[in-house]
Amino acid sequence: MSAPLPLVRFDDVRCEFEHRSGATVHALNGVSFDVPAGQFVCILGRSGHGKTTLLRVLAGLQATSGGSVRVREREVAGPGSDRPMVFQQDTVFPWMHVRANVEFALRVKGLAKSERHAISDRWLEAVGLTQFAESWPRELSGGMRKRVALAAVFASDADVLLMDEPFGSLDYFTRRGLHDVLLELWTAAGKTIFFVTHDIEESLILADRILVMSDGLLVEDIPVELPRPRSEEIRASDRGVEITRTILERLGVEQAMDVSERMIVRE
Amino acid sequence: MSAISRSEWLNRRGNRSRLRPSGRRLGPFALQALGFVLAIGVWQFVAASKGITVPTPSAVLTDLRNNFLSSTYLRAHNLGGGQGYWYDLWYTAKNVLMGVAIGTGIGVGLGLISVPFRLVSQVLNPIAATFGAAPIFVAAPFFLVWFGVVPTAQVTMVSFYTALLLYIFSRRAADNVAREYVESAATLGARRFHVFRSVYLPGTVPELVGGFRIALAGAWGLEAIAELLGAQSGIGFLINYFSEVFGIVEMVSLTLLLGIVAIVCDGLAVLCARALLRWTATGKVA
Repeated sequence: MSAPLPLVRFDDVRCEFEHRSGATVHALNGVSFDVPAGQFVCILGRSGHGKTTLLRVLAGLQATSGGSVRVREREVAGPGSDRPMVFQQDTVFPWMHVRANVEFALRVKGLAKSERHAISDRWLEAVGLTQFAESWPRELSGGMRKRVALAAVFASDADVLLMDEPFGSLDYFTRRGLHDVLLELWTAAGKTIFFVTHDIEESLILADRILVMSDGLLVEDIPVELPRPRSEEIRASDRGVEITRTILERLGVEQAMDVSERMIVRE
Repeated sequence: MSAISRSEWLNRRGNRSRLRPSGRRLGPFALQALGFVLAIGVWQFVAASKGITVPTPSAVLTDLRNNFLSSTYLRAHNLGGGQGYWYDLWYTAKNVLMGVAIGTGIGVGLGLISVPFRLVSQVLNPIAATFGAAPIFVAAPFFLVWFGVVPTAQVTMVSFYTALLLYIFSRRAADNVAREYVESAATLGARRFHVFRSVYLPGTVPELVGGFRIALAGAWGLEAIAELLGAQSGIGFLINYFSEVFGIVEMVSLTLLLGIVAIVCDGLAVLCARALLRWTATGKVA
């Protein structure tokens, strides 16, 4: 019996940009991987090493220079409602009430008002914003607006949800709270999530699998079998430390630390 | 220095709302009234000075009272449709409002359509730059030659300049809409029409309001100039008439009347804009 088809397939994907200086930048340098349905995938790496480009290619917002990206065996040719994205920037539409934001994809699909309301009620409750349904986004905190953005993508009922450092601009405590909210939503909905981050701890809290990017290459594909919920003790377990060490090594940080430690010893 | 206790911290948090300054401030209305009174005072002072031909405020008020609704002078000289100043004021206001409405529709429509259809902006940008630089005194005679001394000439001229201004404003406003909003809408399934309606249209309103107010304020002047150059009615036409018969009081009365109507129309525009911009951080209108 053959293995089930992957939900998302990257096959030798390349993405090149022409820099103003005339040099060619290889943002993605032949990236290949498969992701089955329902997986929480974190894409981790330093800034400028291809994480966001990979996500934008999957979103259909960035054209590739070669290779193919497929979702359910269909080639990605542009943005679509089957791959909504939460951005690092605040993209909750300020001119729409909270409810209208959550219902945006449903309105585009042409759902009836009563149906839209029933769906938005459910997701607003899931993110704890029921009483703010008729508020303007400016009346909410940054963390609450991120909840609205999460509710909007989950309400769209897409199979694949894309998140580009969505909590990057928030303080540590708000971010931790949003991790719990996101994991609850993911558990309830069973969607496939691609989550870009440069925070190792964040990826250990969230991911089923961590894809480590460096210089436009997929340099490590790490399964995270740690039990959930992942408390500090679990993240500090032998396996947690091993994953962290692997990531640091692959990003060249561990090596740099060793060098600096040796220099200190010499002094 | 030691940290404050938890109970004291909670106490301070609870009192925060009571720590706001309670001093009274002079409201904006009072300041506006004060400015108005000062202007009247300066006016009275200048009018009382010898060697300067400026009517006193009371003379102007008397003229307005005697001629606004019905004027024997205008009737005797076959002016103002045999009525009072209001007749020409209505003529001017009607042309301005029609011209601004038509110009806004055309300017905003073309400006926003040129966002998804770059070809439109490539064709229109040089035209807007060329005609936008042409002074009104150069352009006005063309409108008079083409349309004659009828309201169509004045309405067309106001529409033309309003459309030019709002085309430039809407282009800039559309360019300033954050790319992330457009991309976010696209990943949520929005196609070109939905992106236009749900992102570009509301996202450009704050800047368009500013452009609209500038166009409206300028339109009164444009209309008056167009009437000065060639019309059979309107405040500009009357001002031109009274300048020829040295009717200084009437000229000031009519100018004041035009200014008051312009301020009232701007106030109404601000009220409408506030309703449209409830979602902005300050709710203030540019």
